[in-house]
Amino acid sequence: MKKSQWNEYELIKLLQKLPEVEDKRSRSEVYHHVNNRSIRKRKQKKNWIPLFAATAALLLVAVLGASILNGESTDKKSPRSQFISMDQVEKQEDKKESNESDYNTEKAKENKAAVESDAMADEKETLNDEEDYASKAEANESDQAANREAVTIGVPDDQSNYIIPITVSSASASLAQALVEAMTNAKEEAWGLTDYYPLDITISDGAENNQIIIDLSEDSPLITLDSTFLAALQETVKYNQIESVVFTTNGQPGVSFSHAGMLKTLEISKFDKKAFLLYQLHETSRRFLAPSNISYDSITDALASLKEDPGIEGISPSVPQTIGWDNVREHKRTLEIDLSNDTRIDDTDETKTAIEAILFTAKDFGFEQVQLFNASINQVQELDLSAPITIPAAPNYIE
Amino acid sequence: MDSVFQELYEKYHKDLYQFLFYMVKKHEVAEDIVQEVYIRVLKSYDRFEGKSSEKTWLYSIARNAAIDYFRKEKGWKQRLLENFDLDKQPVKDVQPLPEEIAIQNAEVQGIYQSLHSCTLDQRSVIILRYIQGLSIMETAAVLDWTESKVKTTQHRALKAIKKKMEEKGREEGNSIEKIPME
Repeated sequence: MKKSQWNEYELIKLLQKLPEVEDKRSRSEVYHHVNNRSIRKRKQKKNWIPLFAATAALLLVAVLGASILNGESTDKKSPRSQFISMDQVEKQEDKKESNESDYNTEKAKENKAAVESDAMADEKETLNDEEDYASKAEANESDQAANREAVTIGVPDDQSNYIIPITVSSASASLAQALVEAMTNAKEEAWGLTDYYPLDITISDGAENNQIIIDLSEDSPLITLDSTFLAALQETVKYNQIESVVFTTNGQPGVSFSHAGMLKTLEISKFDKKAFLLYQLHETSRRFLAPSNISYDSITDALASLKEDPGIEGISPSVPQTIGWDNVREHKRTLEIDLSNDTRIDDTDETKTAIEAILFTAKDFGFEQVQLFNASINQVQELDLSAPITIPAAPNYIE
Repeated sequence: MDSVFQELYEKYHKDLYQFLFYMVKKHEVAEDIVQEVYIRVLKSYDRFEGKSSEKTWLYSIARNAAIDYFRKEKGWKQRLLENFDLDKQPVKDVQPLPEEIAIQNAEVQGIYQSLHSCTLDQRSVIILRYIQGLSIMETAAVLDWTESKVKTTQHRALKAIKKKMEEKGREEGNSIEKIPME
């Protein structure tokens, strides 16, 4: 180790190189210990009080005895105060333990309703009508794939809490090449996002249509930092009509990720039922639509959340309080929204962004069009509100 | 075997064990604490139903168990003398390197040792963020902190590690390779 100066980036890279460490015991061995210890703990609890009392008494006798022998009457306070301090320490520990269990209970309560993106990957159940939307929308997207003009990549926000899909133009016929170019040319920091790309991976086109192969090296830091990588990949896959992603390690099938485990392919989720909020790092930074980490049970709930402030730095509601609706209906692949009478629709960037947030939220539920009824004006920038609006292929297009 | 234990083990054992190992630096201690974590979790699991934050919930229990270990290790005498302020006490590094680290190159060994020049809070943040790969939001949930506190602590931790790494660099020879700062 010769270097005498390091920067943060180098240190982080080095921290990520720390090896994986495993418990060498088997599951049943661990269970055996856990079981034995639970029993032993109960026994120890019973023995603790007399043991503590005996130790304290001995300590008291020893210290008192020493002070009497030395004739130091002024030191009489010392053992008492020490004894009290010990008692207080024990109480502090007890209090801490009870706080901790309160905290855990509290956390458990809080988390009952929360469903995050990790959990969504496992959620395979879809309602019949949603499957219908899905298959139809998929067909539509396959048509778009043939004429690819743009490519989308998922980029973590400044705090790596959200993955923002960013769409850039691309003339490349090869899907893999289009992705590599987009990742190489991404200006994440200028956009107010994390400087994430390019990644230490090789992307190539697969043998099948709309298939890509992602190869990682054995010591790739992405194997450990797989949560963000797989989430970013999911957003990348979602808007590029990619049908399958094959993982390899140095050309061999599969990647053994630290958290996701061994994956040979990526499970592709096209309809995550997320709400699109607004992300903006600073007042002067570019604004993007950011899919929520939470999935919603219904389009009504998802739309309502567009007006709520999640209280997360950089993330704000995408629909202002001045826009409201009385009724939401599903009509085949079109979502129909009756705007309230007091809704103000202006021909502004803010209103356009709000409508786009509604469009992409609807898209995440499998809709292809959105029609707004009762709008006070018919045109918001290039959006024609007098007819159903066809949802664009991908959000956050950067020229 | 308890089905809850079985499920938790499958999903989180690897992560929890690794987190604890990097916190305490000893396999035998990490083995001991991870068992304690299961005991605490199994005791309160019936009150927990949320799936999404199970991970951060478990990490928070693991961290508390690790802190309890350090507290016990120090002993009550030292606790009274040091005013019970554990978080401000860096842990001195006198142990031999574990096998997994000993086979790594000098820089990785150096960062491993430097990690323990941080306070417990700083070390928790660094391990959660860069070794376990948690986001700032998840780390804040584990530690029950605000995101800005996570960011500040992360920054200070990296500063402490940088200082230690640079000290080591200087110690390890006069031939110094100068690298410009960012």
